[in-house]
Amino acid sequence: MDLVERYLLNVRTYLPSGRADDLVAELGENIRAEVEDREERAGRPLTEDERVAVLRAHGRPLLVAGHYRSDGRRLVLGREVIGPALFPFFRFSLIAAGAVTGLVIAYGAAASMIGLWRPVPWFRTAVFYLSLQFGIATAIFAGLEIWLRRTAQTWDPRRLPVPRKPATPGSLRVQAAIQLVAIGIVLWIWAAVPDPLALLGPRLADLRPGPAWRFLYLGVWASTVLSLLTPALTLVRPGLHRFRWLVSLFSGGAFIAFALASLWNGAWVLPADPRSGIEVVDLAVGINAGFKLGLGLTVVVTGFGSVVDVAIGLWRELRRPQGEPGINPG
Amino acid sequence: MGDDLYENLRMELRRGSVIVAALAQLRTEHYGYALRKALEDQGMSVDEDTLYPLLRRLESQGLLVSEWREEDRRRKRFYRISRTGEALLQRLLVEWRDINTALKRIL
Repeated sequence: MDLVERYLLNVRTYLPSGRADDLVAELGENIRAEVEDREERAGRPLTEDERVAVLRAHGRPLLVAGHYRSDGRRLVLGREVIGPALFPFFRFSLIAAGAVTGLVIAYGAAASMIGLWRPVPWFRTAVFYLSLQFGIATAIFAGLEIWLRRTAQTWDPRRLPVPRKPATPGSLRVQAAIQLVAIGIVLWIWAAVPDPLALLGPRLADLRPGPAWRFLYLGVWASTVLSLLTPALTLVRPGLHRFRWLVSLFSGGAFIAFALASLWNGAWVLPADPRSGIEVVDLAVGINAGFKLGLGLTVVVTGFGSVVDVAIGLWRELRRPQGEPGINPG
Repeated sequence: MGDDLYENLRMELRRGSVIVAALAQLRTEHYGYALRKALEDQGMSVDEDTLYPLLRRLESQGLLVSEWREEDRRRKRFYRISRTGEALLQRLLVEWRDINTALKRIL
């Protein structure tokens, strides 16, 4: 693989997927124009060292991508601690870490409210962990900033890793077709099995589905059918990255709606025979408690994931310059 | 510390000037590397990692317009200043001339 191509693929790995092809195409053209210009002036092809010098002057792939993602903001604590090129990655790490903390705290607060966990001072806990995350992330990125500045003139583009080439529209279509078939098989199995409880083992033969089971069954069915939209969209327009968040909104929303209905509709399993012994009743109670906890956690995680997807999708839509296509211009 | 401080202040000083220079130079259409060379030929050297992302940012602010076009059998993204950009540039140039005049008097 050509050194310039390898450099561009490395830059690409740090760029947002919706703009990566377009930005890399332009950057690649500028680099090739510069190489050709230098060759014309020298009257000979550039040596490898000269090509390395051209790429080194462009900067490390992480920083180049950072400049494209930057809105000029930086972290200044007396003096500049994190520059504009690293700041987008610093902000992303804070959001990601904060989101995980928020998820755990939201789940913990909800579990406390319904009596599953003992009460904990959630606000103080949140402030403590968010401050700790900010301190650790700042220290790591400030150290990285210093190291990147010190090695700006000495880093070697020849030592860049060789990333995988981005998927072509053809390979994306093949992947989408495989996904469609796989999801279709899952749906077929889900629809064809008359008694899914029987699949879990003979011990559950004494149980029958309860009223909550129907909603869970429909929720899985609806969200799986809606998840067909993503590969279907890829099959038609492989390069289109816009509006994927709508799929997440509908698919996640459908699952959450049915799961909440399921959670509020009593038991998932009941003894098949009302005169069953205490063992069967205990088994049903244990399974229902497991369903309640597991489904509650799944609702929180799915809801959180959908909210993040939708927020990122809307944010990108609002920031998209007018007329900028969502697909690679070629 | 002294070098760091000088570098930071130099960057601050150059930041606005680079924007004015790029907007003015893009009254004539250029693609990224051609613009960089044109600026360099006139004594305004701008780093690659500053100029190319800056073009995208100015475009997203509506100050530049761009299009992909073929030149010498290669696809390049050409930029030129927009009407909004030209109006803003006029105001920036008035400001820059005022600052320049004042600085000349002070120095």
